[in-house]
Amino acid sequence: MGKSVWLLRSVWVSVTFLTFLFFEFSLQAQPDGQKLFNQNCARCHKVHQDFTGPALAGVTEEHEEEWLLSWINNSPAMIAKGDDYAVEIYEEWDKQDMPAFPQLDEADIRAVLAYIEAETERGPGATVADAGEPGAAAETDDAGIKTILIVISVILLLIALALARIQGSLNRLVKEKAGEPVPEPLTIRKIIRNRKVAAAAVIVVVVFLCAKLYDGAASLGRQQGYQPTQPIAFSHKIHAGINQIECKYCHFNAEKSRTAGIPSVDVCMNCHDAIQDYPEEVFSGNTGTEEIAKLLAAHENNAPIEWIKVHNLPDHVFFSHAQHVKVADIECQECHGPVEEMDELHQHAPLSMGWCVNCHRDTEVNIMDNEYYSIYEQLHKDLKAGKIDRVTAADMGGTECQRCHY
Amino acid sequence: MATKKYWKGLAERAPDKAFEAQQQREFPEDLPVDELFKDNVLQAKAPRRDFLKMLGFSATAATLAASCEIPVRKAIPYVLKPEVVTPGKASWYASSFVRGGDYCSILTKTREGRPIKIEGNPLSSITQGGTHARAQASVLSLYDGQRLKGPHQKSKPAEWQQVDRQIKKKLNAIRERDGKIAILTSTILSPSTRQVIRDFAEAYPNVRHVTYDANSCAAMLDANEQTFGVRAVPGYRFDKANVILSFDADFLSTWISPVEYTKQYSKKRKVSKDNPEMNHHVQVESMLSLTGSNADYRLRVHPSQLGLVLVQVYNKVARLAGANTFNAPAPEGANKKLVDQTVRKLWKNRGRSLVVTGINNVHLQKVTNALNSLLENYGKTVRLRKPSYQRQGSDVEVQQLIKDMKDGQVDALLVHDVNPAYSLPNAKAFNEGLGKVALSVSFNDRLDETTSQVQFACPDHHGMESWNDAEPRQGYLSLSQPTIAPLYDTRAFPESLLKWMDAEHKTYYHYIQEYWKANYFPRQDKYNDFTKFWNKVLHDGIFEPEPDTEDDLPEFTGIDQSVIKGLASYSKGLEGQALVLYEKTAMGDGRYANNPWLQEMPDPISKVTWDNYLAVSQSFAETHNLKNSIRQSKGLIKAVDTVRVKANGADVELPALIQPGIAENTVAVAIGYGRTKAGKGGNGVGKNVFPLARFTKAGLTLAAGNVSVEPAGNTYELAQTQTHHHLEGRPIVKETTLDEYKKDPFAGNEEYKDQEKIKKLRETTLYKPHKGLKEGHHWGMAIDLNACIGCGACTIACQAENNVPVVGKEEVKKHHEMHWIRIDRYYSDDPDNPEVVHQPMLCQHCDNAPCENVCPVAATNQSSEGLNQMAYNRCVGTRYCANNCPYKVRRFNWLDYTGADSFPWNENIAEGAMSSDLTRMVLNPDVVVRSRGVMEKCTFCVQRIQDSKLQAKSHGKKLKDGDIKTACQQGCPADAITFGDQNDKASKLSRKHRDERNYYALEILHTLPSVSYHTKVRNKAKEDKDTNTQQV
Repeated sequence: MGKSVWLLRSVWVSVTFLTFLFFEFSLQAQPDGQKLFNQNCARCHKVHQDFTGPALAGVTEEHEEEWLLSWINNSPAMIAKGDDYAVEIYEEWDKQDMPAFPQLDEADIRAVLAYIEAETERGPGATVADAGEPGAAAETDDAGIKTILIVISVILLLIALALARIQGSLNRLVKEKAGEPVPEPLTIRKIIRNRKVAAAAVIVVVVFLCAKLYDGAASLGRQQGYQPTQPIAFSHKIHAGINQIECKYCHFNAEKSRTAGIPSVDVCMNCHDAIQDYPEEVFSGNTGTEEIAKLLAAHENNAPIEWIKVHNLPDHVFFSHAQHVKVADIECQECHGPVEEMDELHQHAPLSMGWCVNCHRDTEVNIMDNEYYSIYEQLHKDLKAGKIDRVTAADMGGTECQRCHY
Repeated sequence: MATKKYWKGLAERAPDKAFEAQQQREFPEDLPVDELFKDNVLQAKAPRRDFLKMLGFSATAATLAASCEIPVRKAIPYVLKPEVVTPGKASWYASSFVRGGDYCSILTKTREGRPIKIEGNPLSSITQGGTHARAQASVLSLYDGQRLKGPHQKSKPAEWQQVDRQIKKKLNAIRERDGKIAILTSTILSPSTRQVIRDFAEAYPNVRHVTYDANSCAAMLDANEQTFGVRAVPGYRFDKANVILSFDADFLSTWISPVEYTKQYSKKRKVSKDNPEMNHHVQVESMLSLTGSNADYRLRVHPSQLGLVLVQVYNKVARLAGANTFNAPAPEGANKKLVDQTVRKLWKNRGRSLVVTGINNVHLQKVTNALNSLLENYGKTVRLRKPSYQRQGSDVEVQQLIKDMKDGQVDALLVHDVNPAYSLPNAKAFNEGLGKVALSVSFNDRLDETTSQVQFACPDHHGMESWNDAEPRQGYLSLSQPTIAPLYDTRAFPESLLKWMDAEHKTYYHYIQEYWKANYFPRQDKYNDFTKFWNKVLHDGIFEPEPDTEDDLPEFTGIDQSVIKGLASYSKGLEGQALVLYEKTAMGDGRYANNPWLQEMPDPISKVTWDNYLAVSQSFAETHNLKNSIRQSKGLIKAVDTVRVKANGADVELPALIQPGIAENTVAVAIGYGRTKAGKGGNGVGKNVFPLARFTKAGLTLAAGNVSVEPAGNTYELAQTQTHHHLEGRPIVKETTLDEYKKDPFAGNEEYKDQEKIKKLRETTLYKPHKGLKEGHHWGMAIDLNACIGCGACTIACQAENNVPVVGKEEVKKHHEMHWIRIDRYYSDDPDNPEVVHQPMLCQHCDNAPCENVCPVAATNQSSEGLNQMAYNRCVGTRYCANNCPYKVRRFNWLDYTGADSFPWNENIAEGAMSSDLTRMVLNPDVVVRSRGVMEKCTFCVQRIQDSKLQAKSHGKKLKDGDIKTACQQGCPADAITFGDQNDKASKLSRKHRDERNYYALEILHTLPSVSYHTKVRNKAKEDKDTNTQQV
């Protein structure tokens, strides 16, 4: 009887758990209308006012869902087909094409429409109150699991210690009963007083301190993790992450020059001429609109923005972005870390000489496809003959002093 | 030839014991050990407590240093980024360097909107991509903190509005009373500016434009006017001349258009096995000039005899031509053989020869014209149809103006780009006259000797801040464009004139455009649209509608016997103890005095920096008991006795430096020094010797006769370079004669005949060569000693490119100069009239470098591309490398020369030399600024190598031969330097390295240098060479 109750109970628990799990999963799988709207539509449309394209408030009431699905999916095709209403809109908006969105499936488009509907109901001027940060939640979860694991390990360790002690006491009791000689118990005091142990401990401590000192000395002037507060709370996450703007759109010098270049205000204004509202709160605590206002003020007053340089190389180092980005085709993230996940930018890599040199030693150079490298005849021969399987920057002098110091 | 003895100075030629002892010293100066450890610190014992104290202090200091916060650096982008500016990349603009008559067509390199380097514009057929030291250094003058920062009234700052109002009021008053206005300017190359002056002359009555050149060529202009009806300098074509005879014309260094002439001249000095021909150059002069040092034969004559030699040559040619001769005495003790030989050569090369005279005397110039006419050179090597405008001054008009000023005949004087109060021999008269002028305005860029005396200073822009045009030769036009917004509240000179005219005001930029639209746009048919035409010219920097062709000469009207009378009076005036005034390559007529790069550039002949001095001959020194010695005080310093020179009513005390090559009874001194109001860098450097000159009816004579030179009893320390290294008799320069070269291309370089043996010897080594050298690039350089004229343009080009600091006179005295490329000058043969070789010396980038294996911290090592690398931030300053370098090309930062040190007592800053925030703007951001205590040296312009490699990689293309040009190579007006890849067997450099004349300096030491030299070839008969005495 008891056994069957236990069985029932466990089945019930499992089912509930799984249900929760799947429910959770299905919730997450639901497309995020707001995100999709921001990514795809916001460049030309606003909900409550006309922009490059018409305002979208009430669009779901005006049109059949069927028509909307097909329009959003491929409006040029509809115009070509001669759909009356499609052509009418096209004419009305100065024959501006709305691009097709083949990447959005029906569920996506429905989600976008649902978002528009919700926004329509909310009315103009309302802010989104509950813009939860899924990333932050995930981080807390991770942290929680870690804490639990640590607590469990500590408990287990304590149990093991207690058990060992009990076993020791029992053994002693057995030996006492048998009349055998009982060794002195090994106390902590005894261990500490032991000369060998003390010597070993001193050596360990000294080695540890020396290592720490060396690390500290070597990192003097290095700023790994440096995360200054910038004059404008610019979020790389919003730009490069959520909105998927290519790094080199703003840092367009990276392929041409030594410096990747901080974009000038006019580059920002390419987009922010239109995007001036961002009612959500950004990491600085202000709303995006407030931060964008600082940019607009700079533009208005012709006052350059004094960004704080995050990645500083010493003056005697000559580093060229063009060499690394254009010639070597290295991803920005390799040195700058997951910028698209950073709200406020910080220095990801140590930018130390050892770090540079290691990469020069390890990174394979594609010498076959660039005619410049044809002068390295021996390397080409060895590569063909299979004597070497790859050529690194260091093989061509990439670790020599005057490649970077002059 | 290997037995020939070379010497760097007279002391080395006949060494005494003290000199030999000095050469044996490891360091030229005593190490300041005693000074540092005064209190017997060396003997003191360090007790344990002190040790612990020191330890504690160090640890605390380290901790404190470590806890210092890293400074916050800002990155401030543009608000509106200009399309053409890419941060981190240079932009180049074609422009022109114009200072008075000095001209170079240039390309200006700007980084983030500030000009940092000047290079020659290869499109110009005048300067053909060459530059001289002055043009290279002009970028530093832009950042001169002593320039006027706005208009001044009575030397006090004022506002433009207020100044304009007052000047206009005064001008109007002068107009009403029909007064006289004089505009005194230097040679103006800009046709638009000349038009503005003409317009101004229409707007105001009685405007007289007087052109004044301090080192005048007025006599030549007068002579050409009288004999051809063309008042201009002819367009010379040294590249068409097989025989060149020059009378005191320093045409490779200072005379009229040295870059143009050097380009032409050096084309005829490059010999190869296939074309073993070169020009034949004879120089007749009184003191050893740079041009004279390059001549095949040099006739050393007393100044009073120069004209007589000229007439003698004329007479001999006239006899051959069947023309009339002149009755003139033969020059004293003439070397008949050399004169006859030169005459024969000239006659044989009629139409392919050239005679030039640098003496500013109308009679001598007329004889020169007659001689060139007899030799049928007009239209061929001397072209008057398209004359040069690079000297326009008139001595007669200047003197007339001064007279009128003194008589109160001038109501307004506008002074532009000249400094008569300094450079006129009769400056006192000028100053007196200036006081009588109702309105005096100066457009000079600083409160100089003249400007500080005028009522209004309306400073002109620097050439790099303003729009302008230039016509150095008729039909050869070029544009100047601003490469930076004006640093100060200055205004272009023509713009000021436009503003003061009552005409409707327009900017000078529009004025130039309109002028071009009316005058030059119709002279081409390629562009219908003016804007397109303008943009094209602006892009190229030049507009040369018609090619230079041989022309029909204007009729030569002939000369009469009166020239002989004039000549006799010229000679008479220079009799007895003569004094010659000359111009230095760097300093010009004094206008560059506040440019520390030029001040510190060693004189090509004497190697003296930061001074002028009286050059005297050995025999003169002996008779006057003048000593030159090496003095032991904080180093071994050149100390010379001073003399008092009296001539033309002026007297100056000057240090007397013994120099070879000076005629008997002659002394020489450079003009352009002794400025009192040039700025902190130039004030009080040397002595002003303009007062020793005089005006005659025949022109300004930069010489004097019957001069009194008496010992003044003082000694003076000179900062002279190239005195502190010793050759130990090793052959470092090689030379031969053209005849021998024709017989055997290995002449003078016989050691290299057995190429197989050389190859084997080169490969024999104890050290393993760098394994990467055969793969990829292996950079190298070849320097043609036959092309190099020793002008020093490379030194300044390198200084600008590589942030080489200026150290100042005191440091040069201690042999602490920092130039990465120096030019060594070696004398040989006759001490009275020596032969000279100029040898540029820079890091040889040895494949087996002696400097590398003595460095305890491996701060200097070999790269796989053959560069001898120097990692400054690793260097700890032991100076072992410099000690072990046989070429002595390593430079040590004894002090902080750029003012970047945290401790002021470590700094040693020459005024105006890259030491203030303003002057530091000239620094090249691609090259690190070295700090105190580190070694530095030539890098083969590694920043340019890296940049060119990157460009090639980015485009996926092979690096082309010639893509990389080092700064010295680019700046060289003689194309003496070739840089390239030794592994590329088809490269120009590899061909040069295979040449028969190719040799390596001190190859016996087995250093395996990457820099090679080419034997110098003299166009000289062998027998003359052995007995080289052409003393007249």
